[in-house]
Amino acid sequence: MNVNSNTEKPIFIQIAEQLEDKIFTGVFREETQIPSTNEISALLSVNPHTVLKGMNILVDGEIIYKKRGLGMFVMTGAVEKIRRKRKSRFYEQYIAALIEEAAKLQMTKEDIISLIERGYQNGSHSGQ
Amino acid sequence: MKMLRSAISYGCSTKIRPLTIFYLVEYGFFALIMAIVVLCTGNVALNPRGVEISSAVFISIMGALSFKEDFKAFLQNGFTRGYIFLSTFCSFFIVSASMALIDTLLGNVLHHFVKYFTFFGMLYGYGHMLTTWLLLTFVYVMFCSIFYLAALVINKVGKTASLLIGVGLSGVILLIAALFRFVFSPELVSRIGSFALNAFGFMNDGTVELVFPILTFTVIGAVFWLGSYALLRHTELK
Amino acid sequence: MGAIQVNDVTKRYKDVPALDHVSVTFELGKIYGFLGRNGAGKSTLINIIANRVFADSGEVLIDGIPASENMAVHDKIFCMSETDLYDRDLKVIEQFKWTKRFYADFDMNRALTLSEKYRLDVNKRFKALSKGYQSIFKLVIALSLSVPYVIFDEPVLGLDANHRELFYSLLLEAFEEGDRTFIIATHMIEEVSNIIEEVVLIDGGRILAQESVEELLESGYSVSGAAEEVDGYCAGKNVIGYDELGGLKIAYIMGEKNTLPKGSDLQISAMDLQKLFVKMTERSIK
Repeated sequence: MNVNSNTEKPIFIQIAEQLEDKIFTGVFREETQIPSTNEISALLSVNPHTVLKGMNILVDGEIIYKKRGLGMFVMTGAVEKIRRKRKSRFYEQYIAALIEEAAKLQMTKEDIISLIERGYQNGSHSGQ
Repeated sequence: MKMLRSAISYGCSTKIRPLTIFYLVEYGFFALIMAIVVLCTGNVALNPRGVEISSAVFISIMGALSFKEDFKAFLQNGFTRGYIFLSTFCSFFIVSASMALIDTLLGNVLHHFVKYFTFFGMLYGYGHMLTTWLLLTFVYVMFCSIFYLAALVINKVGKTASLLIGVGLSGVILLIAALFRFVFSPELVSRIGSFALNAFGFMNDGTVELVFPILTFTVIGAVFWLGSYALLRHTELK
Repeated sequence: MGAIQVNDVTKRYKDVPALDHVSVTFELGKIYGFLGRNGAGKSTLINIIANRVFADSGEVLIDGIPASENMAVHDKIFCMSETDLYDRDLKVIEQFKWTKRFYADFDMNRALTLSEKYRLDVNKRFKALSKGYQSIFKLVIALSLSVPYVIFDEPVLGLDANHRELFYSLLLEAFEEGDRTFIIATHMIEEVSNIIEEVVLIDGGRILAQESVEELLESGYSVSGAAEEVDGYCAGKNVIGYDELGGLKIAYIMGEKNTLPKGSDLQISAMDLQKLFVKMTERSIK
């Protein structure tokens, strides 16, 4: 994990996103404990209140929950929840941005579609 | 109270090292000179006299330095100026008393064995160990009060202004000397003279009264210490 | 709620005003960045809080207790100062012992552990330490004291990158111990920007801003693009500075962000704390 203070994204959001990503990729499994605020604070040299704010986003999103006296744990079903969320964001995060940039480059819809097809042919992502 | 005690021991402890060195050097020199004198003349009684004058000089220097060093260290450790003053005064009293004790004891021992004379022994004679010790203590306390105040003044007004004050002070001394010589009547001069002698313990009937010089030095010391406190209370870190 | 309250403090040196009716509050439980350029009045304010110099008017309260010449605040506050106030002839270990006598809250074991971590030779005299290690020595003392309010005046002066990192993590460790306030006065803004929660910005003897880092960062941004377009966007906004590169103009703005009109070639980007600081303090000089 690391934070970057040179982007528009506030640090607490970066922390929330990175924790979420670690949960999604299985680094922190469901019903296991995630590092404490203090541990993350020390690791990233970030104010503990900022870390807590980031964690609270995940608590509100029901990705993690607090076990009294123990710490923060990943909720059952968290991975599925994150997947659904990411899918729903896929359009605005990638497609909309893609189309906007394509317009700046004066590329047509057909150009983009053919590029996508090329990507699937060449890439290792052509699993489907 | 615990804090004040800690502060006083700090004030004393920073002076232990220079004091030890000072005494080693001072009496080392004394022994060296005596050895030379004895070797050359064979006469033990021709040794240097009034070694404790250098103690007075030394404690004056420590008085001046103490403001510079200890004041900063005390501020760093969160002491108020009131505490700093009290602890400085107390530690100087303790240091003065210890030095006076050493000088009195050594002075008496040396007087007994090699006919050495302390400065105050020459003035007041020997015999009252306790009062001599007290007297010497107050003399030392007075000397460091003068130089502690001087250091405070220099710090307060800066170099140039302190030099001007120095010039002014020597002017005042010249003026007083002139007053005595040209303005005051001989009668007045002799009255002031005998008052001064009384203040230092030399009574008109030729006896010596040690209480008076102790009182005199205490009063002079008190004036300077009070002056120091008045200044220190408003002294800032530079 | 505990706090250091600075109420309407003014201080002049000869005829030069160093602090001009400064009021600011440092609450308990937060890490503050106290930022300002050289001569902005940072050290003066710190020295007044720490009872090293006196305010001409106004007062400082620590947990409601007047801080000037008052032993009652002795165990509440400690100030690690940039200038060396320690006796230069004393050994590090002796200084630790004296600090222990002066402060019941000084943790000797912690001081020794930290010295080991930093490889600080406790048997050296202060004057024999290098500049960097003199800073480290002062930091070790400050970090081993568990008084509620600790001020760090230029804490990382002369420290290499590893030692700076170590300081920041030790600071956070000490912060987690409980209700404490750290005030860090520094020029290394970038390094502390993630550690501090609130910023107090001083300039020309006045407080320019006291805000949470997030709010401050949110309110500041830059707009870049063709000069005319940028000027158009900036109309009516609080512009705190410009940079120009040929035809490219960058405006630094505080306040609300307008969404760009569709098809606009302008680009909006965030400012980091350092940039914001530079622009805010540049302006006030003009």
